[in-house]
Amino acid sequence: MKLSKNFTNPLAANNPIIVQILGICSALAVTVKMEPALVMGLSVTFVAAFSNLIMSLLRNGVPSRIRIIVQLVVIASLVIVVDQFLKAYMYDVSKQLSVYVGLIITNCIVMGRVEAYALGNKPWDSFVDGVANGLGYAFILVLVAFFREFFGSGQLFGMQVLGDWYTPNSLMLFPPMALIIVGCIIWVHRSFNKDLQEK
Amino acid sequence: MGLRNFVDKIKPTFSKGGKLSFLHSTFEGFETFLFVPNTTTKKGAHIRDCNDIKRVMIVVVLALIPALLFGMWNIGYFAGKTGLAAFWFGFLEVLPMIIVSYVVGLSIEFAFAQMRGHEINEGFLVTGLLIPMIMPIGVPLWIVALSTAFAVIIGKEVFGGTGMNVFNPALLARAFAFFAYTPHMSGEKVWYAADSVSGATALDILGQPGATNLGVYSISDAFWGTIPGCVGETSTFAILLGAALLLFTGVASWRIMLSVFLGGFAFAYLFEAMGPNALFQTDYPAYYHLLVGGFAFGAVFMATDPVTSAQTNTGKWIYGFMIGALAICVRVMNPAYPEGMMLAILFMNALAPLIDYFVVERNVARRKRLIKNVK
Amino acid sequence: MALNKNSNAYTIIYTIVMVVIVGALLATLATLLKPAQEENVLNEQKESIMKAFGAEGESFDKVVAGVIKNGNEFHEVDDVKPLFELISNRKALAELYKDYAAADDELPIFMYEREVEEKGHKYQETLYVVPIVGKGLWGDIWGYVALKRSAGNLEVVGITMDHAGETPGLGAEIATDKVQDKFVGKLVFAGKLVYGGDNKIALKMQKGVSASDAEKMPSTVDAISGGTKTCDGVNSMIENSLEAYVDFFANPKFVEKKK
Repeated sequence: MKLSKNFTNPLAANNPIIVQILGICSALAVTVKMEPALVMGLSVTFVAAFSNLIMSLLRNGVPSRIRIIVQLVVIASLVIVVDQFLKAYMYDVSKQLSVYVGLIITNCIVMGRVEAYALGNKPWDSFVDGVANGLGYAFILVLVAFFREFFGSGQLFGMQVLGDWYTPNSLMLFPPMALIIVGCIIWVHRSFNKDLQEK
Repeated sequence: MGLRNFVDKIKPTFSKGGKLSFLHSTFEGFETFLFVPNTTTKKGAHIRDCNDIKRVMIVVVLALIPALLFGMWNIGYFAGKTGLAAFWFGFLEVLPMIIVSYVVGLSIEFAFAQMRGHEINEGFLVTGLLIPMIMPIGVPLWIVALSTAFAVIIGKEVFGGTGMNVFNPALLARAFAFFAYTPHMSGEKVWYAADSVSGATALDILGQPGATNLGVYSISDAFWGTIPGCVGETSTFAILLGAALLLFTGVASWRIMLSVFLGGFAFAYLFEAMGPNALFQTDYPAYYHLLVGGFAFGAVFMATDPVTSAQTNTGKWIYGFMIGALAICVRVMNPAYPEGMMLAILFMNALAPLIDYFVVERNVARRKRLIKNVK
Repeated sequence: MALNKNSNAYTIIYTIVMVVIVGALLATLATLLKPAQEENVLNEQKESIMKAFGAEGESFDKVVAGVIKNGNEFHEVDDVKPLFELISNRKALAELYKDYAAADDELPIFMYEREVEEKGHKYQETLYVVPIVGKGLWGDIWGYVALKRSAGNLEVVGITMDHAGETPGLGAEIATDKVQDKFVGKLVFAGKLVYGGDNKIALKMQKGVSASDAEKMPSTVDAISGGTKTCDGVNSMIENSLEAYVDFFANPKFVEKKK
């Protein structure tokens, strides 16, 4: 059934971060702790899903000359909506995410999927594609954040898990470690998916 | 010839078709340790030499010995002992670090060689000794272990093993330890083995604003090495002995060593000439920089690593000069990092291929022009 | 009639309609959510102050917010928002402290009364919170310090600190309870406050002092090992910020204009 493949592909076999290698920038910044990573992942999912949906609905009426601008306006508006909601109802997380919420606009995944998929497909399929890519992204984000928070501060979701005996690894709190962790995840993923390995 | 016969007898078990053939890599590692391999080259013109990687590594290890022995004595000296007792004390303190470094590093290398079906390379022989020598004596062993693991896995194996790494693995280990466990790698207590003693290193003293000399240490202290610091880096004299051996055997490049010192001195002199100002205070003679911290050690043993340095001769001059210059810049201008050598070398490791590329391209362009002129 | 989607007219109309709709939607949303957002910012400030007072979780309503005028007059304010706006504007606050002139400027301060029991006696104790601001190694550092009068000196009741980008595990530790708790009970000045006298601020983080030694010294907190520059920043922050308030605390003629 086309629908389920549409949904499952971006979660693993065509995961935006570890296969398409998109959206790395925010993966570095917000994965110091798991809570902001989760919120960021869900925010991107929301933005990707609805911008896909809206653009798909509009796709027949948009003048081709201003196509990219219209996409930008839609995406930016959705991001502003997310940002305002976070500031009002999830203030602590919004402070941790700070400027990176705004940077969702520049997240290649969102723009990439709108351009590549939503403009040529039906609204429901586009919506599902947005959700799936967003979730694939969110999954990797939370995974990286798990390692960084666990080894970097001995906590998970802000709760102390490792006792005083554990000396936190400060390097985990720095962005380069996030890149290394993503690299390791790609390493493991490709060891199992031999067809993804480049010759 | 008894040993050779014994090895030949058990060889079939480890070769293809034998019962223990999956352990081929491990067997091969031991065999080539004992004997020069008799593999022959099949194509092209080659020079036969008894000097292979193994022998080169052993020369480097020998060159490190003076600095290591002195470092051991120095640790005992700062713990209040003298003479042979000081050396023995330091030896016992340093030995666990060396053991941990080799055990962790070699196990990982063996494991990867097994998984990939390669032979084991002796690349780790030198790295394993370098890692403890650039750590402070007070660092916990588990940090040494973790850093070594990080350096071997992320620094070497990910890129393809010995000879394929971009960055100097020993420095990667140190960088990891420094950024991940900074409180254990700096401060006042890590430079001494005895808990009761603490104090700044000569480098720290030099880094204080308004410093004009090395505080309680004299210049001759800095040269001979009776200053606190990492295990192997304190004695400029011992390092120079090692340098002499490396240069005599042709193992290390004199171009790199010389240009590192030149670059460092040039920039240190520049800063000295600018005098103390709002951005940084340098009120001491330029050559102090060459004697304290990891500068000399890095110049002789780290920058010259053939795998990670520039390969072309011109490239080596540029590479070395920039290492020296960058190290001094970081030391003087950045209040957060008293030691700049490690960062300078790692940074230039990344740039070395680029330097070589431009040197070669410039050479190609020059020859093209010559040909045009001849016509 | 088929619309020519690529005609200029269509494009322009499309753009105008889109901009109007989006603008209206977003403006409405922002206006609706603004009160909630502002309250969040305010709450964060208030919680920080309560934490400094050592009264975490208690209501901010019991705190009297005001300004110091003319060096020794405390005037309560009705609306705390302008006060917090000044404090959030770290640059403005730092300049206020630097160029403070008693006759012209007003200093923000918070007062809190709590009941203490000592040797069977119950009495009211007045605590003061002063906002502090300074520069760490990589960026701004700021916070609140809570003080109370004690034997002619000022004793630290609590301190909260935050930073913009100090090194994790080192300078960043100033934001942790572990470091902040070390300040509790320390004395600000070297000796008793003398009105018009020298009144040097002695409270500082010092390195090279062991934790046990520091505990015995009245104004010294042992610095974070490896975070020297950040701790130097903390010392400057405390000194520069509190200096403006010295006259107020030293003045025996304390005028309080509460509402």
